[in-house]
Amino acid sequence: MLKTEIPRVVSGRDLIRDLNEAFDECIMLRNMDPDLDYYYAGPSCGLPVELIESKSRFLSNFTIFWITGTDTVQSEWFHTGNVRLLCTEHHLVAENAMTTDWQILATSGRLPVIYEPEILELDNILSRLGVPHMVDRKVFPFLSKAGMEAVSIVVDILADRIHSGAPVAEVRVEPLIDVDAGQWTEVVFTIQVNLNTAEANKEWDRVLENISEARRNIAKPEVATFLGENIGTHFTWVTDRDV
Amino acid sequence: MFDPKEFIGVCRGLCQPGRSEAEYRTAVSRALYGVFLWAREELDARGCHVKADTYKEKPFEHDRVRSSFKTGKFRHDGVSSRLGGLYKLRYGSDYDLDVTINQGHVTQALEYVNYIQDAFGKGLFGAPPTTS
Repeated sequence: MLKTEIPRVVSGRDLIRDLNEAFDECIMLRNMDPDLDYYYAGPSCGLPVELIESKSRFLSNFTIFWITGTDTVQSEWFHTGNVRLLCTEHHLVAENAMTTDWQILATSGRLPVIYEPEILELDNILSRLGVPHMVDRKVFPFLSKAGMEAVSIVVDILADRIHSGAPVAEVRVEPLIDVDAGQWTEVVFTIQVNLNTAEANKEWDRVLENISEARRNIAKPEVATFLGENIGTHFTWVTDRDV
Repeated sequence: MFDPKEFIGVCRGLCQPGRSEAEYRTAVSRALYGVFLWAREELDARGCHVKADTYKEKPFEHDRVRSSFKTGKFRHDGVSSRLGGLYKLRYGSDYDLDVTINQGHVTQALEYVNYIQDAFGKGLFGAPPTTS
């Protein structure tokens, strides 16, 4: 496998968007002239990438190749910050260069959006907590720019409480989705604390009051709305008393 | 008319060691529905339009009840958060077969219920509704 360094770092989302446009272009060209062996489509934003659908070699499957400044058609790694994408004959694979986690993004057709810049941004924000944290990646579709700002505000409030001595064991960021009717979604902070019930409820209400105060002072209405309606904080604690 | 608070009693009754996972899952679900239906009736009695007019609208009642505690006259951040916690536990109990639901989840659900019950009784719905 040939690996090629590309000097310019691009966001994964931009890349996937360009690839999707290229896919659409390939499909349009094929509809216009179904008898050609190859369909070429170049992305719009000047990335050093072209997409080729090879009908003759792989029948109905889309096959993706990268061309990076040469005329050689080959599979290779494409680096986008900490995520690198590998295009093989049948798959587009994304690998996190830091964790080596990988996933197949697509085998053919349109590619899903990946959230590499947002993942890094959220990880940076959560590192301010100074306690173990976990993120369910299903939150990213719900995290707009305003959402990320709102998350940052909540993290600052939690970090302040933790630094003041609140015994937080772990923070998880997860989506909460209305399974029954799909009417609402929230980005939820699940905060595990080593406190008894009375202390946990007191600490929880203090955090809520701080969030409410921050909300009143925010200049951006979209951030205030997200903070008030789309972010949840759930404390959990262990109790052995009779409830 | 059935009193939805009886569901909370069912949940308390099932919060014991040695129960089956099916019973723990049922307990969490009843806790959520006990609170949700109680809130829905109290809000409706106070002129807050949360009840569905048609069968099709039924699933949207959850959103209306939740929203009522997030903004407006009945805003209560503490109740809203505990209710959110209950929904999270309930979705896990009713839909996610990969997680194990145990007595600890039921206990946590009841902790949320206790807070909500207290807030309903003392502040939000302490006074009887006035007919308008």
